[in-house]
Amino acid sequence: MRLASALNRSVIFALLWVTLTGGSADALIYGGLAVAAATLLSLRLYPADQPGIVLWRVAGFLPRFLADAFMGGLDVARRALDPRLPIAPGWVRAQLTNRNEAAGVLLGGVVSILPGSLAAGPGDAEMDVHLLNVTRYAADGMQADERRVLGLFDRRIDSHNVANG
Amino acid sequence: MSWTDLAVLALLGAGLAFYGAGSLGLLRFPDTASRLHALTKADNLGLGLVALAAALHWGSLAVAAKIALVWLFAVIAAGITSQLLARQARLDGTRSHRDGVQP
Repeated sequence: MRLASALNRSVIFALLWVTLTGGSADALIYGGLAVAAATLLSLRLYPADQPGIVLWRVAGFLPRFLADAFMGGLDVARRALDPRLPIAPGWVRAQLTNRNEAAGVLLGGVVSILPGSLAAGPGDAEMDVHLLNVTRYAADGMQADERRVLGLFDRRIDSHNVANG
Repeated sequence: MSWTDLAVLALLGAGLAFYGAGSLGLLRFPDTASRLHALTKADNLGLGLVALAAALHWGSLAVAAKIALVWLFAVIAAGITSQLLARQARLDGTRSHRDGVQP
């Protein structure tokens, strides 16, 4: 488990290194060291027994994420440029169905990309969300976002569900 | 000037416009968290458009992949830092409300 995880992660880090640097042969030693250090750090920060993200599911997630990022930027730019400044900012507390912190942080990041909402990090199965227009809050939208984010993880994420204690 | 150059110019211009709108939001929005909306979302989109322009300008898949990664890392960093700042803004807001101080 731990070995498979270390291998998986080092392959990903190696691909990142090659993409970012061009991966020339005389820099391989530095690349190797960087990949090894990144893998060790990653295993220390997020141990192999934690719920993992399934890579191919990320591919299915990306188009919607990019569209959200586009709409989010467009929406806030429109509000900033409008002379009437059409915002009614305020906080809401959203209830989550899962306690896993990594999933919570990822959900917060996704929510912060969406038009009009910005997360203040996960709490214990809840999340404070700041809205540019607090009169437009829809709790079921937040639940759908959480389902999409949880869907990126493997089955181990289910043990962190609130319903399971 | 080729069609590619025109597209590069259009993308660059749009990207800069979003950076401008983000900065305007930073100045105009009334509270810390609203300002974070402007900075993270508009700048993510601005950077994305500038990155697209750069990828198109150099026209190589390797450069495009590198730029896409840089964009992704910037979005991840913005997603994490904005949550940390928003959390602090939330805590400060609650505290000043409790103490009867206007934020």
